[in-house]
Amino acid sequence: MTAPDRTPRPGAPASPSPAALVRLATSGSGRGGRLAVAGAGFAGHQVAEALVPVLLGLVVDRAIGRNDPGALLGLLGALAALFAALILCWRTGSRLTTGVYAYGEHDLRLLATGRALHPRGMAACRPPGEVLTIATSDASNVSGVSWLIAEQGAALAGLLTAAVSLLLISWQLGAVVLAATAVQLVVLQLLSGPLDRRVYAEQREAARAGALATDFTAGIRVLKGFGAEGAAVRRYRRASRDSMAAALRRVRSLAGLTALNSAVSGVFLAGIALLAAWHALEGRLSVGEFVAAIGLAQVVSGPMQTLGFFGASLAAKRGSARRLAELLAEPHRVTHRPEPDGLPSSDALFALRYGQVTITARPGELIGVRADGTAAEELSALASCRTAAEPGSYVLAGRDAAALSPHEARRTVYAPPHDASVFTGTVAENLATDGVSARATAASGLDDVLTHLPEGLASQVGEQGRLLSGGQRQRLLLARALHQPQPVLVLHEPTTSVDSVTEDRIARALRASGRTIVLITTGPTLLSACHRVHDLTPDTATDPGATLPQRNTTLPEPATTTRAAR
Amino acid sequence: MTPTTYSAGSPALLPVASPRDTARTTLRLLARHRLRLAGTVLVLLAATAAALAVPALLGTMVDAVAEGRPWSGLLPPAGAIVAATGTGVALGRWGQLLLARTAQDTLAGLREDVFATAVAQPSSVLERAGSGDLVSRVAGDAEAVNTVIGKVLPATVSALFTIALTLIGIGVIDLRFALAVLAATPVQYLALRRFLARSGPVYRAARQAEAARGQRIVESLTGADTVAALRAQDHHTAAVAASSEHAIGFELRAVRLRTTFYGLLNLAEFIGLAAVLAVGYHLVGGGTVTLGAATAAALYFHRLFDPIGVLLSTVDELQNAGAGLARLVGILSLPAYRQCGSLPPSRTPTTPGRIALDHVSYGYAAGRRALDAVSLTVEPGETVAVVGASGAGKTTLAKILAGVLTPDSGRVLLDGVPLAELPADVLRRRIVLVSQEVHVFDGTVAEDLRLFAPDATDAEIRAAAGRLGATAWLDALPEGLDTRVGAGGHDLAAARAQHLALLRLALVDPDVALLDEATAEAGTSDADLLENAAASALADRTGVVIAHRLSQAARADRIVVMDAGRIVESGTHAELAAAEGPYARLWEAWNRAR
Repeated sequence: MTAPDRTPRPGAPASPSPAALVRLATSGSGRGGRLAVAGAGFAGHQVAEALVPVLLGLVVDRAIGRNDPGALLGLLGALAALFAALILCWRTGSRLTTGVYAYGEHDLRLLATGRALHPRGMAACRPPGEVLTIATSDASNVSGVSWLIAEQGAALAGLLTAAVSLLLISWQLGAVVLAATAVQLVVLQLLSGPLDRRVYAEQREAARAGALATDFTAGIRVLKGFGAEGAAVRRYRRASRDSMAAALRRVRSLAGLTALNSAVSGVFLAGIALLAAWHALEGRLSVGEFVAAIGLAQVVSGPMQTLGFFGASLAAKRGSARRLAELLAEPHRVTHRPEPDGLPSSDALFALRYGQVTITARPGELIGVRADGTAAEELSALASCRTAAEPGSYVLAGRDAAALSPHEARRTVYAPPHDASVFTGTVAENLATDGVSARATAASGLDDVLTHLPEGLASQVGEQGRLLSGGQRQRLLLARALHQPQPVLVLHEPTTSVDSVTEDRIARALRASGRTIVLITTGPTLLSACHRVHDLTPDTATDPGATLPQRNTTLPEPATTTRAAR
Repeated sequence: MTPTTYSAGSPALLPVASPRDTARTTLRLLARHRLRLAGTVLVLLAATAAALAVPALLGTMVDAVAEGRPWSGLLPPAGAIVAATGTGVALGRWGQLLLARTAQDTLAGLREDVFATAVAQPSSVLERAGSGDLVSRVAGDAEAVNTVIGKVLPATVSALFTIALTLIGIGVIDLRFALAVLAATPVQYLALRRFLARSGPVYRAARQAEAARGQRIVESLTGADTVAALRAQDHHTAAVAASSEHAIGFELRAVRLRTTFYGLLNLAEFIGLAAVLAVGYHLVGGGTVTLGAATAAALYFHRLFDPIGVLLSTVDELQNAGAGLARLVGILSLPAYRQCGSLPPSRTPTTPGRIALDHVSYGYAAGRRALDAVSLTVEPGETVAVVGASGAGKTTLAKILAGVLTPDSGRVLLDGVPLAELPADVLRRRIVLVSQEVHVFDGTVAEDLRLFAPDATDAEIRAAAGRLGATAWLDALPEGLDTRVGAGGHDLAAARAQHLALLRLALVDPDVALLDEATAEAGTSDADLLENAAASALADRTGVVIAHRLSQAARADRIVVMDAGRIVESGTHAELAAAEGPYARLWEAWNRAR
């Protein structure tokens, strides 16, 4: 997915409403038509189910009661045809709905991950586990509306079939069924509120216990070093028990609702049977019609319960749709700005003003920025447009970065966070999408690491690179930076986990690389290799823009050819 | 640095239990509640029996109508229907709650034991498997089992009872009706067997595909800033999309199998119903049973459609949950969980220990040795710094000293006692390893610290923070010690996270402390702060410090230099800096720029 700036108002991405998300899941990409056919299939199935007792009554009346073998064969043939239709309808409905549901969920999932990965970032930080839940459980819940629609449609069709059949047998019976259904629906709607809240609470507690397990697993090495596994287990146990209590509250609530529903159905069945029996005794119904009537009254309870739980089912999905919509509506961290006027004309490749200091880098220069703590983090974030630069304060390849979208700006500058991520896959896959440069692996000290890995570049690095040690990961990250095509690299403390001899080698290699690199670091070894150094540390930064005296004379000057090119 | 334990291709996943072990363990867990379970079964049986009186009562009404009995004779059966339904409903609700309580209790115990056993495993086992595997079990699989016991189990149990009692009811009317019903059984049996054989592999593949999808998403989200810097959104979104579509493929295959299965079940229903009606025709014609009885038999069988469907289709969900259960139980088959890590209530005063390595060797994979016959003694109260190039074996040395790794050969002695002979809780009270990894746990700062030192009071935390120079930034946090940090809260800079780790150490107050790169993230202004904090945290105890920052190493009483798994140099900073050995070269490289 490309990341277009579809920004309708400053600060917020396009944000579909919960209802629009449901529409997208159920009817986007031509799914609406398929869902309609599926609904028809389910409805056909329900109608066929409702007709089974009608046929049953006919068999009792015409074949068994009158001892007519021809009628028996004929009616059993009709029963066979009815079952064939029933099977076919269900199969069609089921297969189509599954497809609609799965692809609807897929589209919502991509929307959610696309939002979380948007180049402009998210204003409020959300833990990955939370977004994962939204992209999986919530997406599945919302898309599950497809099932709800198909099932409700079918239940309604079944109910109507039963009601019409009863109306044909006796209008009083049909009217009672319809009235009773209406009453049951209203009662259940009213009572399903607490269930809705409890389902939500149960999901929240379960998610909390899961998140705790995830967090402890991520920090397992830290826990093991202290032998704090026991404390972690105790904390998890508590969360697990809270989760259990919430689950039990939900079960209690659901059991109550189900019981009420069944009780209403039972009373209703008795009423219908009594009414039908009275009609039969008065001679208005045949015995077969009476059998069909009580059979139908039994069949009706299924669709009635389905319809009765509609409100509760929909409420559970409403919460998910809302969470998904909120994620999509999360404002951007780097908001869109109109083209700033009074753009300072500059032909600099890289110039970033930070406080009183303007950091510049000419092609081929290795620039040091002595900064640490918050200043270093802020600089790295500004350079990569993870936070927005003030108009006129950041020039990239002659253009004001504030006027560029972050995605656009990152065409010119590669500025990964200090603790950048390594992804599951091989070393080579983590370095570049096409071809590995031996020069970059040597310059980053990754070549040493590769000799220790059994399969060199083809070695798997594990989830988030956990199969590598801290130092190995750091050199992989540096090598990856050197593989990037961007004209400017801004690296934040790239060698904290590397020994001093290797660091020295890396510093010389960076200087000799001919690339334009800005190093945000306090490491003297790296700084001493730089052509120029901007000092932003509080104890020494007295002369804005000053450069430290250069110690080295042996290191090569930046490539004059690139300088001449400007 | 840690040499890499490496497995090509798919990671070595944690074990999955065999169906037999799964069943045995589940039964053992359920047996803890056997009385409550027995009560539950009785209640549910009674509920089903009450509900099943309904068709019989309807049959009586049919007979009354057929015989043209007076209207008043219909009232008792109608009243009985209401009563039976009411009783069935009340008992059913009670049984459902009893069942849920037992099942939820069992499940909660199971997932807790699984988590406890899993975190007790050596970290190498967990890392090879990937955290995704463990998390998907403790969260995902436990949830799948939860769904089944919450919804499916009560339905299955009542369906089972309904079927059994209905068959009895039909048999009571006339045994030949029951035989007619059995005509449906062969088709049901064949359908079930075919379905189980084919759906198992598809379900397992689907679960794996979903786990892979989850891992893809989490990795991309965790690395969102990196993805942005690499301009790799398209690549990552495409990878998520591909893994998601892969999972959909299995979902669609599963539904095809399922619809065929249900089709065959419907066929069986038809065969059974036709048989019952034909038998009814025969028996009523012969005058053996009444029309009402034949009707009741047909109605009974019609009522069986739902429970049979429920029972056979929940086989589907039970199988799914069984797969989850097998993954949970599989973890329990790992070496037993030891009750470790809790600090005893009465804290003994710190007595610096003497820790010694005696010809210790260790190798991660065949071939290269991470440690090669290393011997080293650290005297009580002494601080020894370990330096050397990346990959020299320093982290392995620390893990061996901490007892996190067990040496292949040689011994580790704490005050002359081999670590292997120390109970886990004593070992952890006396030796603490502050690992290279920085992880701030989700929760408040105080909660993070109390994970390690459960009894620490706010005052003790403040005192320790004062000694370690952390008061200023802790107070600067929005809510001080109660500020939420970690994945869901305030993002602590790496140097702060390392400071927090040192604070944990000071609060735990062990006899021996091992610091693996515990000040690596220090910037210029933090360097002195963090190094001073490390020095205070090590005061009054034996310390081993692994450091790339040689300024920290230089403060130690003694320095040992490692190379390729061996100690190649040892002495004070002054001695080694003056010698022309590897330390002098490291020191020179370190100072060249300073």
